[in-house]
Amino acid sequence: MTNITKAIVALMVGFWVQAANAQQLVTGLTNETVFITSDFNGTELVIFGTINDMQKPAGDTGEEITVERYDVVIVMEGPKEPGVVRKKQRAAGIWINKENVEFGDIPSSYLMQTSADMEKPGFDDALKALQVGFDYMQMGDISNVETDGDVKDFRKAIVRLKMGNQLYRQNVGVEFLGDNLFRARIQIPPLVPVGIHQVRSYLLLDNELVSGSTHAINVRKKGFEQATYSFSRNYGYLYGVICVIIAMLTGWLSSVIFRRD
Amino acid sequence: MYLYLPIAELPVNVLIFLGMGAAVGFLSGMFGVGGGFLMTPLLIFSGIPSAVAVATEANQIVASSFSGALVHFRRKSIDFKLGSLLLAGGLVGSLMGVLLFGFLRQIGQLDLIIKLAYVGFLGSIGSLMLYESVGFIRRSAQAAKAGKQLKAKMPGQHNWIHGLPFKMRFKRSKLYISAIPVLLIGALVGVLAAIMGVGGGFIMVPAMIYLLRVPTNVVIGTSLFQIMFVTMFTTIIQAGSNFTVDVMLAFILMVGGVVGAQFGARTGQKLKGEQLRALLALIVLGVCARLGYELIATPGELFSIGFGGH
Repeated sequence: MTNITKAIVALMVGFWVQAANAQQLVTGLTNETVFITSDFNGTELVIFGTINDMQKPAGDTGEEITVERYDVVIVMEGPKEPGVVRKKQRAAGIWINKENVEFGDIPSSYLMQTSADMEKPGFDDALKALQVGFDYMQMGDISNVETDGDVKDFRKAIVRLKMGNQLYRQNVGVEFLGDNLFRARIQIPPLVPVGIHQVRSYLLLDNELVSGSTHAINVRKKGFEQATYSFSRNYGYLYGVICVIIAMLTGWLSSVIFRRD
Repeated sequence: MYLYLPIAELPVNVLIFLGMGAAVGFLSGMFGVGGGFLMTPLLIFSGIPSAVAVATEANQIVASSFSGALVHFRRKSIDFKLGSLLLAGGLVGSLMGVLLFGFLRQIGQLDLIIKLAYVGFLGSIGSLMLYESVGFIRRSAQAAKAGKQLKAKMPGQHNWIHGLPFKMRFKRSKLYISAIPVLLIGALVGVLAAIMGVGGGFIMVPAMIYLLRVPTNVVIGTSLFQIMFVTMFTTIIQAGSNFTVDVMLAFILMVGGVVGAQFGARTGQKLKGEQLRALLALIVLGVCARLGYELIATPGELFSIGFGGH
């Protein structure tokens, strides 16, 4: 519960510092660091949010705005990296990587939750304007195009392959808990990449963006995993020597334990 | 029970990987082979990135070959001179293999080449072994009917290899042969160790018996001696240049492997040599068929993503 308390405190601080002349989105997270330890197999991150002055009319129409007219979209995006998408073709009876397209900035993970489902009228256009969601997210510059087919198929393949690893997901998951408080649980998959992830929240009123917020989340290894990883990166050859010594000790021990001659 | 692998960067079920180590260890103890040719494809099937699978398997083979080489060292069944020459070739081959590995990964054909290499080598070795062992079983069955005992046919004393220059004397093996084929066989095994994640015993042992005419009693010890050093070298080079050796994964596999090997060795003693060879040939051909099918069958997913550097 301490994490949730922290999130609520963060929210209250948020209330206090926000300007109060229009609808404002204020969000807080249960934790800002996800530690990967030896027993890590995915985890959950909870994001809380509230809408300030949500009843206040947007223009001077005087009518009160009801909660139904709001939508919230939350995206947790992992570090971006360039990648090449390859497509196999049959050549001389076997399947060989023949076509390829390079993308400059592929998000290593992309977990999106919305309050509305994709069928809601106008919602898709709103996502398009925000450039969020599988169809509209940015994947960087396209280069080295070697295909006769459609580059869009290569883009769709990224989404499909990443969805297979649970690294990309988009679903309805933002729940309104009261008039202006909402919550989303983000399932962080076991294969989550390490690095700084961005959590971006968007508040839509009648499918128009009225406010947003951003948090950074650090996904990092801890303890033995971190020590081993950084040692293997900084002293690769020495690490290799240690791996060899461990293997020799294991081999020697087994020949002693099971010695039969 | 899940454990997060620090280098492969994914959680695995420890029990499954211990079991895989034990199963492959059992077969390797039974047949006297390293088992890398089974383990590396198994690791790749179970979701370990192929670069990590190949490099980590080299590390595991260090443990099993060291343990085996110790036994042969005590029995004095290692030809150190021949082994060192095979090793010299092996180190050069391994270095070339690690470089080739990086290049193939960069152009996106690594998985294809690994599979083609497996299909080619396993297919030819497996068919030869099956042909030889089934032939022997049939002939000895006929001989038993006739009331005679059949000895395994010893390969003839001379072939074209004996005509090559740079001859050297190998006392332990009672051989006087050219250094060239020895270095070449060593180098080939080194390349395979680096790109296929195997020890290479399944190539080296038949090559030593049939091409070099090394006496059977020193073949296994000498090949283990070479494999041990080549895989040590490969592990260190892969760790230093590709950062792909996962010490946790290797350790899990080693522990499963050494235990499995003991039970395998006991089971193996109950079977005849030719029966063992026929069984091993079937397993080798099975792996070959499985990988060959993947190359030919229309894949469920035509696309793949490659990320630079990692």
